Amino acid sequence: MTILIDSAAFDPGEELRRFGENQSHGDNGAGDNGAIATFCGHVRSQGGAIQYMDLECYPEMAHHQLARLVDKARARWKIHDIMIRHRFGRLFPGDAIVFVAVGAPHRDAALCACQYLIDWLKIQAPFWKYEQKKDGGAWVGTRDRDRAAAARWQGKD
Amino acid sequence: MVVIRYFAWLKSATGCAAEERELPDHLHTIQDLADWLRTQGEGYEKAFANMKVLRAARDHEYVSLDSAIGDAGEIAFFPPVSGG
Repeated sequence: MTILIDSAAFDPGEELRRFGENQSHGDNGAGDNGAIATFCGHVRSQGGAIQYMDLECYPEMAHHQLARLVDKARARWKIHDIMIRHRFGRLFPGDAIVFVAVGAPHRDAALCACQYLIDWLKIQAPFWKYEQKKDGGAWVGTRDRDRAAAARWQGKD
Repeated sequence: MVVIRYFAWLKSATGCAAEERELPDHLHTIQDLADWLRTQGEGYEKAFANMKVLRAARDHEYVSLDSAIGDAGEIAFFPPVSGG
């Protein structure tokens, strides 16, 4: 399991390559991954309105909350390995914010766990977006559709 | 002594990211702490004006406002999250 929270820019393709490499050479069932599912979230330009975004983070709590989510996903699906990488600091449209990868023997576990992780991350991991537009900036709150997305998994834990 | 941390617009309102405070004995719950902090200056009054838009964490775990402060080492207040 890898949880990485920092301000450095990252390349999702490179993260996937490294994740896949660890899967095939590591001790998490070497060569036994039938599936790797990934999610990558990027800063949207919102039609050119967004100049940049400042992403604030509570790193210690974020690590703690994400580690728990990973444990829950592992208890629910047969998974070999999980990686979550999340950026904070100043980001510009197109920049990768978050990368989630799940390696599993079969696709259903990999796909479901990947969606589960990003759905819960959106409403539980302590990050806050401040969007800077040409006419001013504003903090972004939790969106109702993100709450609804996470709620779909509730009661099935 | 307890470390109190503020994030996002609460940090702007209080003017600090973290502070160490000696808490009065009559504070038992997270709500008590918020009510007390609200009296600590204009910025704090603004930060804690509407508890419905705030979330709290004790030692990195989400807690409800009626939870005990207990032997917390760190308590954080922040708005609903928006990462990912």
